[in-house]
Amino acid sequence: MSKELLRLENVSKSFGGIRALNNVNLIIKEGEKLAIIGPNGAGKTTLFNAISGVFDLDSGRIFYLGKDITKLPPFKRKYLGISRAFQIPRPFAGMTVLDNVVVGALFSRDIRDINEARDRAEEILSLVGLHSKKDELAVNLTSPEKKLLELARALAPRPKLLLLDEIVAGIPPAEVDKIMSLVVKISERENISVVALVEHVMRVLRYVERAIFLHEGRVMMDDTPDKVLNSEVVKDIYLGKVYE
Amino acid sequence: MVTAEYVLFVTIAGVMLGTFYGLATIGLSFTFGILRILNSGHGSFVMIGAYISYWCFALLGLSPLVSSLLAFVIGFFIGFALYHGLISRVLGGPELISLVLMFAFGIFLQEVAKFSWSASPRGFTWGLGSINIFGYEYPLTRLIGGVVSAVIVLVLYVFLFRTKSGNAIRSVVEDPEGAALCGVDVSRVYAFSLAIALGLTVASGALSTLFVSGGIEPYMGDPYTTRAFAIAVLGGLTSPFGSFLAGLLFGIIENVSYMLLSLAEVGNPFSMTRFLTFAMILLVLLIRPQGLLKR
Amino acid sequence: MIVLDIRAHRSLIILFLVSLTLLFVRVGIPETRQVLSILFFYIALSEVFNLFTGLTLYVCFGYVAFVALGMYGGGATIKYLLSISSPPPLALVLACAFAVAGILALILALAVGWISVRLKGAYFAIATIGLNEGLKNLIEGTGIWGGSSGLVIANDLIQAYNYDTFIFVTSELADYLIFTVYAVTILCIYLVIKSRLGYGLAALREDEEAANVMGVNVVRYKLIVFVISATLAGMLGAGKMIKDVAIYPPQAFAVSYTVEAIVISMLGGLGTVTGPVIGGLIYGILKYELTVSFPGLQLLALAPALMAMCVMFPYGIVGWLRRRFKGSKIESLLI
Repeated sequence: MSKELLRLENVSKSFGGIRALNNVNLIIKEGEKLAIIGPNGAGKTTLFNAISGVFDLDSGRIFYLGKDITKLPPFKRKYLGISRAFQIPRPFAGMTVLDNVVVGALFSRDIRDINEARDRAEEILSLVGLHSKKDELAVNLTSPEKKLLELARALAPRPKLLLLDEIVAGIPPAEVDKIMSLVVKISERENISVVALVEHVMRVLRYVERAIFLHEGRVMMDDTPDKVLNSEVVKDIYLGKVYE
Repeated sequence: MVTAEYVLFVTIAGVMLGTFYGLATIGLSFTFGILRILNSGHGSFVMIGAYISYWCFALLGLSPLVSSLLAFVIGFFIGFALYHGLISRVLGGPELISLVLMFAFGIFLQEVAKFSWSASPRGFTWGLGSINIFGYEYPLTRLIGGVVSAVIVLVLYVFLFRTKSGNAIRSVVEDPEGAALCGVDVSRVYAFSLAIALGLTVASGALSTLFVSGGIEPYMGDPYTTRAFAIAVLGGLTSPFGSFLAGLLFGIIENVSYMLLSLAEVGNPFSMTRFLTFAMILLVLLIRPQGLLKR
Repeated sequence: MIVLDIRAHRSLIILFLVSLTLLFVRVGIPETRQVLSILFFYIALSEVFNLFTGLTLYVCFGYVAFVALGMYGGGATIKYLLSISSPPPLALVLACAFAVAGILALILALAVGWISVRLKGAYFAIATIGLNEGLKNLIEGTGIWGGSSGLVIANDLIQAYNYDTFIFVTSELADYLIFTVYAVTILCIYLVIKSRLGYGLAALREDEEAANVMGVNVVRYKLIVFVISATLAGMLGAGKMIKDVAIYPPQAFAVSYTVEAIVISMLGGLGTVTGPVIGGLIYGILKYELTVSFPGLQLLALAPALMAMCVMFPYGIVGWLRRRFKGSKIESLLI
């Protein structure tokens, strides 16, 4: 185990005059679960966008399973196994829940056959608890259900790396636990590395083994959640802006 | 014979034509920049303007300068009516719907024109004589057309940048939600903008009769549509003043290419220039779709 | 091995049988020939239009250019092949005409499509609206293929084969050929909808950006359907050329085709296979009545109808029926 999955080498990105990512170096291993924490504007979303391939980097390189993917477009990265669940779910509104997940499953390296994709979609929907709604139009789901759908879509293609874009923002603690335990359960079952973006909901850190503190585009700390949360640096910067 | 004077003459003529082309295209960029709707029936509005100019001249003896004002007003009201009647209902929907809608409206205008005034081409000459530029005769009407077009664009500039309404419009382009929060009635801005855009387009149609004295028929708008697209793409589809500058450039290019094609005797220069216009669209889309002049 | 699962594909088979019935009506009842003949062409064109615009929601205004290119390409091929000392058999000549028409359209679609398919809808519309004007002016400007005078192959056909053959080819065979293009088109649409490509396109229609992130190669998928539909449009042009045996730039590039194809597709239902057939039948009958009562005024009535559809009835008849009867047998039958 513990094979290197994702490596960021000296990654930098600026927007206008603002340095969003400043020489970020990061290694994520297979099967790891970690959280990227940091205050507003720290560069967390930019980091996710860089990994997803949404824009070109100003400098630095990104390696995935040893391969240089710096120039690869987003849809190709998905094929390699990098999947992302967005904070504000963007399901295909006019399609059914099942079809939404099928799209997620169908456009991946391992699954090309529609029937296989459907089976996988049903499997995932059962795992997240949305199977009863599989024929509903995605637009008709409730807000928490849409988050589950977003998660299902991201998990369907059997990714190796799951980027969780703070999908637990704005929901009660019980729900957070529900979703996070689900994520842990599935990721352990299928050997998925999970990177959770966390700004406010520190409860998420209970479910990860590593926390990376990002501030002004720089990696300030990279350690276990306890050590990071209790460090002077983090306490200074967060200054009580933390929610349990 | 191709002398330096001739080239200069062609260039100046191109500039005059270009300011007119720029005016004829501003409406397109205005509409797209603000409402995010491409007027796929653009040329038909130019055609309406040309007919207005014709009838004003034929029935009332008014010069195209005067009739262009009337044309603007008519276009303005069409814009308002179109917005409240149809456009407001499809705004925010799939692009396809608004594209087909404007296309159909353009066709509708063509057919109404054909029904009302038949398909026979009409024309008139506002004989003002010509002036001498570098030894070549240049029709005075074209000079006036170019100058008037430039003046109208200047007025638009002043309006957009120095008046309250103009600033409201610009704020909506930048940030519709923010503008709404600041108390800007976004819907009114949209209606107003479409009205101005179509008003300018129809007015440019009236001014077109200063450049071309004949050929006013229901389907005359098609080349204008292609040309406007080419210019807008060149200058940045969302930037009205970018379009104006691109129009200038295009006027020069068109004139020069017409001159070169006539000399080279490669087929019919008229048609070939129009073909090259289309080729240019593809080229710009390939290399720099956001337009040459957009920063 | 393709196993024909009749039950699974029954909707397509039913549609095909209905279409064949219409063909038989046209063959069997001579009075209907005129109307049905024109109808087949329009339905075929609408299906071709639907294959791309219906499945991607990108409007291509340039089908007239592809059809015209097919007409010219097919016509020029026929003219050329019939001019050599011992003309080849008719079947080969016609096959070549179709092949050339298709290839020319394919090349044009690749060139224009590759550039414009990666841009947003408005830019794509710009490129395709300009296509008609561009091609027309190229032909008139350079004078190729007869330029402004047009291209006529009637005499070539009569001289190469006898008069009876000429009549048969232009009155009967041409319609069967057009029907064949139609059949191929609906098969294409059906296969696409049921495939992985179809899923990708459905996602693309909903939210192109999200689809891209989810792994759909949106540019490639748009290009694929664009090129296929343009090629079919070219072949349709070849069929039309064989029927009309003449082409003149003003009529060939008339905008009315585009409008009618859009009307029929929207009336019937964009993105459906049965839509253009139903839309075409209704439109055909209406047009016939209108032509009888108010000749020359079709577009004047069509344009407002199209505008009304955009605002009030964008899903079309089949689209509306599918939504109304969602989840039922009717929905699965009306593909």
